[in-house]
Amino acid sequence: MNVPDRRIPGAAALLSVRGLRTEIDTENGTVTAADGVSLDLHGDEVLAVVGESGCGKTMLALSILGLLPRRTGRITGGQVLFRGEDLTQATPARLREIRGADIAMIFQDALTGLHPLQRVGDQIVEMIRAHEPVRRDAARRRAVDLLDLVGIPDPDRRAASFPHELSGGMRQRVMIAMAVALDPAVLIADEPTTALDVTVQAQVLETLARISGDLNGSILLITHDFGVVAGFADRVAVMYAGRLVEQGPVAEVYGRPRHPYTAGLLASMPRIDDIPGRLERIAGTPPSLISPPPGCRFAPRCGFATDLCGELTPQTRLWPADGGVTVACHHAERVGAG
Amino acid sequence: MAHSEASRPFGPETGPLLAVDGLVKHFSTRRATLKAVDGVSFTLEEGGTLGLVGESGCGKSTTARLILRLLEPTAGSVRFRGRELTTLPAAEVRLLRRRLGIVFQDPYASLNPRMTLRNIVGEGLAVWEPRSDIDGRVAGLLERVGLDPAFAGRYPHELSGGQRQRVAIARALAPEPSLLICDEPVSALDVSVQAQILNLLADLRRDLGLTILFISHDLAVVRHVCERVAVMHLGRIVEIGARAQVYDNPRHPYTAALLSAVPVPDPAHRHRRSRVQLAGEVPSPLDPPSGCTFRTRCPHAAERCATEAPELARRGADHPVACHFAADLPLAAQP
Repeated sequence: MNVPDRRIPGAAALLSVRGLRTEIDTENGTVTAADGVSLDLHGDEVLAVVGESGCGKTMLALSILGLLPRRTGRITGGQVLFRGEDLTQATPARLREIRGADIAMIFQDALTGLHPLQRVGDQIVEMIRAHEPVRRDAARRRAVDLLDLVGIPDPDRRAASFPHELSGGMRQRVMIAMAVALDPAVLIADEPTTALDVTVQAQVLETLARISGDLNGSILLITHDFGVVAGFADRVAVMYAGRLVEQGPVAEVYGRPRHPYTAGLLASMPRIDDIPGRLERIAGTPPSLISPPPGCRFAPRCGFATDLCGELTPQTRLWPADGGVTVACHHAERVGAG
Repeated sequence: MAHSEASRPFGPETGPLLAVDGLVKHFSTRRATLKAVDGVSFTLEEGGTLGLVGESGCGKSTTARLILRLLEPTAGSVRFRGRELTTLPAAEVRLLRRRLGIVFQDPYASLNPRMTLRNIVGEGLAVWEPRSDIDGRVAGLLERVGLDPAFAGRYPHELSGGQRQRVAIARALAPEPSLLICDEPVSALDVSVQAQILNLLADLRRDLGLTILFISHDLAVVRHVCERVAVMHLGRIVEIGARAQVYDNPRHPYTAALLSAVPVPDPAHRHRRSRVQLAGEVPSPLDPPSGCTFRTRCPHAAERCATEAPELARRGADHPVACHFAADLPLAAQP
C-alpha cells in the first residue's frame, strides 16, 4: 500500500479535530470525555483511535458527528474541521446534510443502527432518497447493488429481510452498505466487529477494507482491539482518560511505542503467535474522568513516573523529530529506548 | 491455604481428575431440537489446564454447566475422581460444587449487589466453619487474590470490574476446590486488567496446584493459559491436543481458520500471514448441516462430508481430530 507522507501534523487534512473538549453530565458529576484531542484524518487512509472502555473514544466519534446526547453532552472547546468547515458551529440542518452523505457512521451493534420493523432494503432506499432526488425503483436497484457489494448472498431476496432475520455478521454488512450508500468521504466505524465471532469479524473487516479501497474513502476506526488496528489501520492514535497519548504510523507505534501506556498495553496482550510467558501488566485501573489526577493522567499507574508527571501535563510533541510519531510523555525518550 | 488430603471426600487418587464421556444436552422447543452439546468427551488430569475454545453457540458454556449440574445432561457421563456426577442425588450436588469452583464471565451479574465482600466470599465457608474463623479466612482469601483485606466491608458496586472478578475468584476458592472452572473469566475486562487476572490465575495454579477448565472464545488467551486445548464447533469437539500441537500444527480446517482469523497486534503480520477465509454464513445450531457440521464453510469439503459425520478419531497418539481428511490436508501452521 502506498501511503502518502503524513509526517507533518496539520498538513491539509480531510477531517481535522483541533483541541476538542467534550463534557458529559452523569449522575455522579461532569465527565470530560475528550480533553484537548487533536487528530487529522487524511484522504484514503484508515486512522484507528484505540483505547480501553471509558477512555472517551466513542464520545470523540459522536462529537465529530454532532451526535452527543442532547441534554447531557456538549462540546466546550476546540474545532472539528471537515474540508475546512467547523462542524461544531454548524446548524442541525447542515449536520443532517453532512451525516450520511459526507461522513457516515457504523456502530458496534447493528441492531441499534437498523430499524427493527422495516425491511433492510427499504431502509437503504429511504436513506438514499433522503439525500438525493432519485426515483424509488432506481434507489431500490442501488440498494440491491450495495448489498451485493458488501458480500450479502442473494441480495435481491435479502433486501426484503427484516434485521432480526439476519445473522450478526450480515446485519453488520447491511450497516456497511447503508453507510457507503451515498459514497461518503469519511466513514466512522465504532467497534464495528466487537460483537462478532472471530471468523465473522475477519469477513467483515475484509469487506470494510475492500470497500474503502474501492471507494477511496477514509475510515476513522474506533476500537479497543490492538490486533484489529495492526491488521487494518495505516495510523493509530492511542487514547487514555480523555487524552491522546500517542499518535503515528502503525508500524512505528507498534515497533517502538514511546508512551508507557502504549508499551504496557502491547506487553499485556496474550498473543496467538507467541510463546506463553508472564504478561507484563499495568497496575491499577484507569482514573475517573470526573476528577482525573493532575498532570499526566497515566502517572499513578506508570513505572516511569517522576514527581514532574504528577504536577505538569506533558505537551504533545514529535519524538524523535523525524519519526512521524507524536507523544505526550515527559519521559518518551526513556520509554522509546526500550 | 494448602489443600489437605483429608478434606477430599471424593474417590481414589488414580486416573484423571475429571473424565467427561459422551456428554449430550438437547434443548427441545415445539419446532426444533437444539443440540447444544452433542457427544463431548475429554479428560483432565490433576493439576492440568484444559481450554475449551470455540465461537458463540458452540456449546462450551453449556458443557461447563453440565459438569457442575447447573443443567441436567440428556445423556453421557461426568466422573470426578472416578465418581459419577450425573446421577448424584440432589442433596450431594451442593457438596459437589464445593469441590468444583466456578468463575463466570460477568463480574457485574455474578455478585449479589446487596452483600458485602465478607459475606460473598464467606458464603462458601459459612456452612461448616466456626463463625469466628470466617473473618480471618475471608481476609486471607482477599489477600490471596490481590485485594486489600480492608475491602471486606465493601459492596460490589464500589469496585472496578477487575476487582469484582478478583472477588468472584476468591469466592470460588473459599471451599478449597481442586477443580476451578472459568467461563470466559476475562472477556468483559479491558486488556490491562485482563492481564492482571490472567497473571493471578497463573499464580493460583502454581501455588495451590489447582486444576483448571478454562472456557473462552479468545484463542490468544487460551494459548496463554492452557496446556491442552479442545476446539468446539456446534456442540462437538473437533480437535483436541497439547497447546503446541493445536496452535502450531492444527489438523482440523476449522481450527486452522479460527487461528488465522485472530488479529495479531503486529503490523508486520498483515502481509506475512496466510489467511484462511471462510465463505458462507455460520450455520444455525437449530438446523445444522448433515454430516460434518463445518462442511458448509469448509474450503476442503467433499461429498463424503455431507453424508458421514466424522468421529473424533485418534490420529496419532494424543491429537485426535474429527475430520475425514485430517491426514491429507495441507493446513498452514500458524501464524
